[in-house]
Formats: sequence, C-alpha cells, structure tokens
Amino acid sequence: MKIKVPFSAAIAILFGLLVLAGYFIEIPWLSDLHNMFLQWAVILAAVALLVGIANLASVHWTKASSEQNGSFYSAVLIISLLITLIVVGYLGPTAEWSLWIFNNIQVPVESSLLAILVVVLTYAAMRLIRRRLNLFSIIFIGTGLITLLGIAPLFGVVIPGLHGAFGFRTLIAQIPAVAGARGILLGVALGTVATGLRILMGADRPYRG
Amino acid sequence: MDEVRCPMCGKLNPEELDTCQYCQARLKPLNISSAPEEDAEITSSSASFNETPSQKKPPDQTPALPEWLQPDWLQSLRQGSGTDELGEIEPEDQLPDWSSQEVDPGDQETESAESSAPEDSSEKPDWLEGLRAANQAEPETPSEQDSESTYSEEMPEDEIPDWLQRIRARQSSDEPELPLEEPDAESAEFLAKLRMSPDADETDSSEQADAEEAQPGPDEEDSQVPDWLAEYAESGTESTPPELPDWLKSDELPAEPEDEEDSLAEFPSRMTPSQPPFTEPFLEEDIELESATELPAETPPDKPPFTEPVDEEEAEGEIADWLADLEIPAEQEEMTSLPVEDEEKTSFAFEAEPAEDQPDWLQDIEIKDGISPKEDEQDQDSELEVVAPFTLDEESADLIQEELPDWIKEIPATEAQTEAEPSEEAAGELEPAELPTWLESMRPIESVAPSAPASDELDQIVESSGPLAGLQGILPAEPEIAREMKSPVYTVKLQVSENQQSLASRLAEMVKSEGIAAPIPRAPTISSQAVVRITIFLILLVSVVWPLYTGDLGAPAPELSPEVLDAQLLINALPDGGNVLLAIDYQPAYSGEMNATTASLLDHLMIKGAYLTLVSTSTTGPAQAEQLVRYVNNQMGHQYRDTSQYANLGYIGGGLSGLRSFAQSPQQIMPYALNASTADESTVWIDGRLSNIQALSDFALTVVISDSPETARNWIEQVGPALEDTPLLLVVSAQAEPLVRPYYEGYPKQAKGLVVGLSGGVAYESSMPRPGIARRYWDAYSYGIPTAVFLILIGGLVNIVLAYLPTLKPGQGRAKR
Amino acid sequence: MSLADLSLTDMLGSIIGFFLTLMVFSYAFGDNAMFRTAIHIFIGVASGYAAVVAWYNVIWPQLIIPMVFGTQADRIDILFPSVLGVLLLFKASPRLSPLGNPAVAYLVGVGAATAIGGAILGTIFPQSLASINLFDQQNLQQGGEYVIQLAKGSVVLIGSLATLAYFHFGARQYPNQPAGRPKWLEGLAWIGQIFIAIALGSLFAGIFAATLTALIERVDFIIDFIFALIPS
Repeated sequence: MKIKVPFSAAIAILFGLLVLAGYFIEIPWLSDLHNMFLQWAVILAAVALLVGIANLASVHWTKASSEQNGSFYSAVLIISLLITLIVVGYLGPTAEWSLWIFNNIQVPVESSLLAILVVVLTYAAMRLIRRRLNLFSIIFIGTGLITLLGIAPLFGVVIPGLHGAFGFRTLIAQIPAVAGARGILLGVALGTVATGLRILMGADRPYRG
Repeated sequence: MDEVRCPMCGKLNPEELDTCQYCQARLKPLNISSAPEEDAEITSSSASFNETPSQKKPPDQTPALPEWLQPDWLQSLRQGSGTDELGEIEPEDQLPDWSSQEVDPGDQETESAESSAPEDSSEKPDWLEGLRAANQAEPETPSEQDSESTYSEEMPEDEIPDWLQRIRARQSSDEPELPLEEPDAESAEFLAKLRMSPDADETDSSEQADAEEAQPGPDEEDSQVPDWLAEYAESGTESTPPELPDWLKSDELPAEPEDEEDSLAEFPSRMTPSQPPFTEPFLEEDIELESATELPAETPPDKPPFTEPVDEEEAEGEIADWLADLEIPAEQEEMTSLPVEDEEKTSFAFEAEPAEDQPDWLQDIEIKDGISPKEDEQDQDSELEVVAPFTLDEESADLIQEELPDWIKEIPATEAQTEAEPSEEAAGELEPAELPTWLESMRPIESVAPSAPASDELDQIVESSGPLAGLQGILPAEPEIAREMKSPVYTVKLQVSENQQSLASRLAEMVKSEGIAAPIPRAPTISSQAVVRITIFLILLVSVVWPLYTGDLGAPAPELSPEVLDAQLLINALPDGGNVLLAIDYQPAYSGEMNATTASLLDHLMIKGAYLTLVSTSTTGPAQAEQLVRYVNNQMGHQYRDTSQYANLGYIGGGLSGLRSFAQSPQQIMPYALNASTADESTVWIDGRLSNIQALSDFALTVVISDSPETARNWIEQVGPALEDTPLLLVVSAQAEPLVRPYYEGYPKQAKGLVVGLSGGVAYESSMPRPGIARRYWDAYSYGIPTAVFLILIGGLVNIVLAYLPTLKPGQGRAKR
Repeated sequence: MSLADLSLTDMLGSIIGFFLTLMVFSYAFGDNAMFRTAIHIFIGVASGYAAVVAWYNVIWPQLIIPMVFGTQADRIDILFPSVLGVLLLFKASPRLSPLGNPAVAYLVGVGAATAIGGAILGTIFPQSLASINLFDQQNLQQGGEYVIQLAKGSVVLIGSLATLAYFHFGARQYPNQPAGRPKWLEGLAWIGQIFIAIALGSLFAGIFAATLTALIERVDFIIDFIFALIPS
C-alpha cells in the first residue's frame, strides 16, 4: 500500500504546530495536547530505537551467515548482542551483571577509544601548522596551546599571568571565547528555528521514503 | 597499299573495306533506289568510291557520302554543277562502261530491298533520296562519293567517260524506276556470277547496312538514282551486258592514280568526327531494312560493310583505266591506301553472289576476313577486289590536291599502314579508334580530359511496347519520378579504415580502463606516519605513567574559580535532605574525566543528605548513574544504595521531546525507579521521597552532568524554563566549556554554577576536606598537558622546517606541502 | 589492592577490561583484528543495553502496561501512538517502508516544534538578553571595574555580533560587480572569524584535555591491574 506524501506532511504540520503553540500559548487544553503529543513522541522514539537495533542485528546476522569478509566480526557482534539482551533484559539495566557488563566491557572500550584519540589530536595539531599557516590557523592553534598550558601547571609549575583565576587563559576563556561561542550559539539557534519552520511549513519533508 | 580515310573518324582504312575498321562507318556509301539494277549500280559504284584504282571492287558498291561529310570543295563543286544532293553522280560518261552494264544481281536485290523499304523521308539517307529523285526527275548524279561526277560537268564533253554519258542520257529520258523484283536477265546473270562466292550475299548485305550507317544525311528523296546506275538497271533488262573493261577482265585491280587516291583520302580526313556517330542506329536500320527488303538468309545483319578483305595485288590490277588516269600523288596514294596485308584485304562488296553467278573478275576477288564468317570459304573465295568506281581526272585531282591542307599531305603512308588491322572479330565489335600522332598529341591529359559520358540508364532500357518497341535509348513516357524503382538498399555496415579501427580500439581501451580501479600501491608495514604516532603515544604514555606510578608529585591545585565557587555555594545552600535532580548525561568514554570531576560534588551532595533523583537522556545513563553512585560510595564511604537515598529513574527517551515532556510532567514520563528492589519501592512519585514533587521546579537543585555542549544546551533550553527558581548547576567536560560558559556568563545566568573538567573537579575537591580521585589524576595531568604542548610545538616546527627547507637551498623550487 | 581481594566477577571483569583496553590501544600501531574484535564486542553490548533500557523505561511502562493493564481511557489515549508504533515497525522492511512514513512524519514534526520552542525560549532570548545586560547599569560595578566590565561587555557584544555577521551568507547584486556582501559586513565578518577561531581553539584545548584525562584514567587502570597481579 502506497501512502501519499501529503498525508504524512499533514501529520507533521498539524502536530508540530500544536506542539509549537503549546510553547507560547498558555491554554489548558492546549497544554494538555502539548504534553500528550510529546508523550506520544517519546513512545515512538523508543520504538524507532528498537527498530534501528533490530535492523543492525539483521544486517550483521546476514553477514555472519554468509562467507564474506568480516563475517567473524559480525558473529562476535551478534553473540555479544544476544548475551547482553538476555542478561540485561532478564536482570534489569541496573542489576549486578548488567552493570558488570557495562563496567567491564563497554566502559573500557569506550574509554580506550577516547584515550587513543589524544595521539590523533596531537599528530593533527602538528600537521596543522605545516598544512595551513594563515592568520586564523595561527590564532586557532595559538589559543588552543595557551588554553592547554593554562589549564594545569607546567610540570607542576604555576606560571603567573597564565594560570589562575585572572590569568591569560581565564581571560581568553571568559571574553573572546565567550563572544565567539555566544555568536555560534545564536547562529545555531537561528538555524534551528529556520529549519524547524521549513519542516512545519512543509518545505522540507525528510520523512519520505 | 592504298588506304581510304574514313569519313567519320578520319582514320585510314584499307581500300578494300566497305566499313571503317575503327568506327564501323560506311566507307562506301550505299545507294538505294526503286530499281534494283540501279540500286545495284549505285551501291557498287558508291562502294568503289573510296577504293584505290588498283583495287577491284564492284562498281555499284560505293555508297554516297552524306552532305555533312562532304568536304567544302566537293560541295562547292556540286553547287556549281547545280547538284547538292548526296551521292549524286553527275557525269555519267565518267563512269566506266562496266558500271553501267554490269549489275550485280545480288546488289540488285539488295538495292531492291532497300528501295522497297518504307520511303520515310526521316529515315532514308539523303543520298538515297537524291538518287531516287534523280531517277524520277532529272538526270542527277547518283553518288556523293563520285566527285568525278561533280567535276564531270565542268569537264569537256570529249573527256567525259562513256559510262557517265550513258547515265546522263538515261536520266534525261525520264525513265521510271525500275522495279526491284524484276531484275534484268543480263544483270541477273551478272549478279549471279557475283553470287558465285558464298559470302557475296552476306557481303552485300553488310555493305548495304554500312552504307545506310555511314550516310545519315538530311532527309531527301531517296529515289534519286544516279544516271549511271539507272543506266545499269536498264541495261540489265533491255540492253546487252556492257563490255567489261580491261581491268575487270583481269584478276588484278587496275592501278589507281595516286592523285586520285589522295583526293579520295581527303574526305575522311576533313569530315571525320571524333567518334563514329550513328553507329548503332544505322546498324539497326540496316537490320530493319534488310529484314524489310527480304535480304538473303545468308546475309549477316550485323556484319559491317566494307570489311571484306581484298587481295591488294589483285585489286590494284583490276582498277579501271579511268581510275588509272587519275594522277594521284604517291603520298596521297599511300595515305589513301588501305592497310591491307598480304593475306587480308578489305572489300567494299556488299553482298557476294553465288560463285556460279559472279563474273570472273568478281570471283577472283579474294574475300578476306572481316566479312566472311567462314574462314574456309574465305580462303577459297576469290578476292573481291576493291575498285574505285569513280576516278578523278587530272583536273579534279589537281583541284583536290590543291585544296588539301598541308598537314594531310605530310601524313606519311606508313602511318596509315601501321594502323589497326581489321580482324574478323573486330568486324562485329567497335574497336577503339586509333588517333593519328598529330591528333594524339592534341589529346588532353586524362586528368582534365572530359571523361566519357556515363552510360545513361536510359540507354539500357529497351522499350517493350508501343511503336518504339525494341528500340533502345528511348526517352520514357513517364517521368522518372513516377517510375517504379526499387529503393536503394543502403548497407548498414560501417566502412572503417584500418587507421580508424586502430584509433577506435585505442579509445575503447581507454574508456575500459576508466572503470577499472587502479591498483593501490601497497602501503609499507610501518609508515613514517605510524612511527610518528607511536612515538607520540609512547611519549605521552611515559609522561602520564610516571606521575601515576610515583604518586603525588605535588602539582599545585588550581585556584577556585568563580564558577566553581558558585557551584559550591549552591550546594551549601541546599537544605538538608533536599531533592536534587541529577542528570547523568555523559558517555561511558568520558567516565574517567566525569567521574573525577563529579565525585567531589556528589560527595558534597551526599554529605548534605540530598535525595538524588537520577535521570538521563542517554541509554547508558541509568548504568552510568548507578556506576557513579557506587563509585562515590566506594571512594567517599557513603551508603547511597536504595531508593531511600536516591532514585534512578532511568532513561528519558525522545531527546528534546522527552526532556520537554519530562519538564512538563515528570511523573508520567518517569514513573518508576530502576534501582527499586521491590515494586512498591519503584513508585517513588507516590509514596517515596518524590511524592511532593509535582514539577521540576519543586526540586531544590538541578545538576546537569554532561560531556557534550549539545546535551547541556538541551537541558538548558527545554528544562531550564520549567525550573523557574530552581538553580541549575552544570558539570561539564573540558570540551564543553567554551559553548556552555555563555549560559553562565550572561545576565540573568541560565546556569548558576559551572564546574569544568578535571581542573574544576580538582578545584572543587581542593575545597572539600576529603581528597578525591581528581587529585590523583592532577599530577599526571600537569605533566601530560605540557608534554603534549611541547610535542605539538616541536613537531610543528619540524614540519615547517622540512616543508620550507628545499626553498632555502638555491636553485630548487618551492617545497611540496 | 590485589586481584585476590577482588571477587571472582570483579577479577574476571578486570581481566576482560584489561585486555579490551590493550586491544583498543593496539590501534596506535595500525588497524588490526584485535581492535576490530573489541569494537564489535562493544557495539553488540551497547546495542543490547540500549534496547533493554528503551524497553524498560519507555515501551513497557508507557505502552504495554496501559494497553494491557490499563483502563479503557488509558487504551484510548494510547491507541494513536500504538498505531503509529506498529506502522513504524514497517520501516524495518525495505518493501513496506513507506508505511512508516506517517510515524516518522509525526516524530519529525513534533521534534521540529520542540527544537523551535527551545531555541527561541532557551537560547535566542536569554543569550540576546545576556549580551544586552552586560551594559546594565545595575550589573556594572563602580570604579575601575566599571570600565573593565564595560570593556568586557563591549568586546563580548562586538564579538557576538561579528560572529553572527560571519554566518550571514546573503549577497546583494551590484552593478558591474560580482554578487557579494557589503564591505562593512565583510569587515565585520572578518572580525568574527577571529572570535570564532579563538572559540574553536578553546574547544580544541578542551577536547584535548578530555582525551588526555581518558588516557590517564586508562593508564591508571592498567597500572592498578598490573600492580594487582603482583602479589603484595
């Protein structure tokens, strides 16, 4: 059965406008609708999460069943997924074994991945000086280095003017960095508003297909 | 050998031939009249026109030249004599006696057949018309070839040959046309003798056809039979056979004066067109005429006339005396002499009579190849000697000689002799004309020479119906566009040359190679980039391991920043046992930093006895929250284990929508506590520590612990407005500080406190009486950060030096980046 | 602390954690099978845990319980999301995927509205007000700090405006000239680039610090584990 796009667009526009109206109009029934629609969105978001995980499992199951390159890794993924589903699903997300799996598998791997990132960042900073040497790249790398040097004492040595509450590092973080960040935040917010309005007007329909 | 110049192509031919061996034009015109005797006389006399005097040939076989073939001097002569008709012989007394008496029966029949043909003025040649008219009205000259007749009127009467005189006399008597089907007995005898040779009939018929072909003159009356021929016809029925001239008695043709030969040769040279015209139609006409006049069966219609080989010696011996009187220069004689070989001689005889009916002199004439279809018979037959029936007197010869252009005089006789030889097969085919050297030199270069016109397809079409049935080259009645033509079939095969094929194959290879991925060169096992990364890792590892291994290196703690102080003040301001909403929104990857940053703050809250409500917008949040509480419990010695101290509400789904929904109605979104050991304990909103919480604003403090600025912003945007007076405290990772600080630096502050990263945690921890895990990491942090900074600086400088070092050396280009 | 002091599960967990850490650290020498195996284990575990949490915290209490154990009113209230939820399940099938479009459209529409409301009420208004309130007389302190505060506020205001000007991509068509921003806007954007570079530099420093902290934590774990193997 093929559902026409205008029906989906009507759903998005209708419920979106009602939710947006609940932000600015204080009417009891509108607030109730607002809350109800939001609750429905939470449910559907959870369903979408399950659908995504099911799709992930399906893809790797197919890959593990076949004899293509990387089928071993897909099998490892399927096995770990099933074990986690069984253990955590039966015992609960905060059970001992659930937390054991979380603390001894997920946390070490993610932390290690983040830890290995420092090498990549150091190497990238070294090449940035050579690749693109202009005013803005100099400002960028210079600010970063100054900020890093001002975060902690240099080999246990505090440098006056650099460290401290009124040091250069704090001054940079509180004035120009805030100014730039504020501009970025405002720009992001304005872009979010523009994109949302396009969806609520039906100009953008990312729900096709 | 004597040669005759063809009137059409201008080439020299042996005198014995009746038709040109190159263009098949009639060398000796045919004379057609109602009287078969007269016709026989005419044809025989016309056939002997171009013959050398030494050649024997029937006197009535010389065809008359059309007017357009006549040279100017001949025309002028005739005009002076009052005759402008072709083939008219004026002085009949110049004709030899034999020509007026002896009539070839075969020729008579031929002439009768010709005369009985439909007298269509459009089809009959002019000379024939003239002959008939002359026969009917005035005594006119019967043959155009007989220039002597033109001259004869100017000649004194005593010099006019007897035969010509007789012809004139006969013409003046207004004799009717002789019926063709009543040959005279004597002429019949003469003709019968001529028919003694087996090929005489064929020869006669072919010669007759050639005569028709060679004389396409304007339409004239075809009943003008010259007097001398008419005389022959009459003599064939009434008079006795004329006395044979001496030359006919002998086997040899009488010798012709050279002057006469030269004068005779002038005709073909002057009037010869480039190509023999009217070859095919005349042949067809001849065929039709022959069929209409009931030619003998032995007569081959396609045989060209004037091609009978004649023995030159015999022909020369039988030339009449009147021809011998003509003083033809030796040069002209050579020019006019036909290229007759010893074995082959051409003859202008039309039809050979049976051997038993032919006179002796005629029987002696050797019929050579070209005419005779049988070589045996050809060998056996006596040569038909070609004899010019008309001879030029000395005066005429002189006139001709004077008017001959010099270039004709210069033509050596040898050229004519060396021209193409007639052959039996060539008699039936059109041989390419041989141009003389002087004409050959004038021939244009082939590259610029106009090419022979392409044969029109119309010429190939033979009409199949209508009055023009059987004719070729007829213009179609229908326009070409209406004719049904098969549509041309165009070949679909592409004509490609070898060079094009090679280029196309090369292009195909290039296109094919585009789709094939080039093999990537195998990277070395350990590249320079890997070496650098390993080096960096090891250096950083050492800088971190050493402080951790050695323990406290005494790195000074950072100063208490305002934002950390504000956070501390907020927690200090909490009432004891106050409800604190704790949002654990950081990933497990940041658990090391966030645990170190949050541990002291959480310890502070626990010291305050705050009821912690843990929520998270991340799926790992519930586990992370549990892990944090247990960590602090373990590190700080607290006992937060069940829902009486804290409630782990779990995961808030939906992202922004869930936050907004949680902010509006937290009980509906998070009704249960995950850390409840029993079902009753899970309903914390009903009979737990959260029963007096209706909205988020009922919480004493909201602490958002996040590793990303987006999560913190979401909390600020969605939950912040619902908090109202409830302070919001942000504990963020060092990476989130730049984008989160504006929420703290503004007025009114959206975030009342801010603890940033390990430095903030260390700073907060330093204000607490109990040390935490953050202080343990601080020493390694203080050594690792500057090490990394120095690595970046040194590595960058090295890269810059390596990049710009080639430019420092003279003579080298810019360094490659 | 030694491994003997740990329970079996903790010791096993420590061992697993230790090897997983080393497997991930092996990426410093290049991509290899150990690293990929550790990554795939992590993905499986994370996916499974997320699915269970979503079920435990959302599906079960907010969808199943009202549908099965709730009242009629509860079932009516949950009917529409149930239908949409069922339609959303069809997204797993490529052939029947279009059937889930209405559910996705609902999520997109509600999410867009939520984002708009939060951006306006949570960022635009407060941040704009914060920039303005920097010049509030009540906030400015008297004396020397007044000037400092004023200067600080001015720089922040100019920096914020300059940063916003840099993200302005509208162009005006000029006669005989290519389309572009006005000159004054170009200059302001250039200044904004500087503030953006500073902000991003600070961001880079923070990221680096966070990753270094993660490295320190992992190294500390390894050291503790190694030391735990050594009998005391």
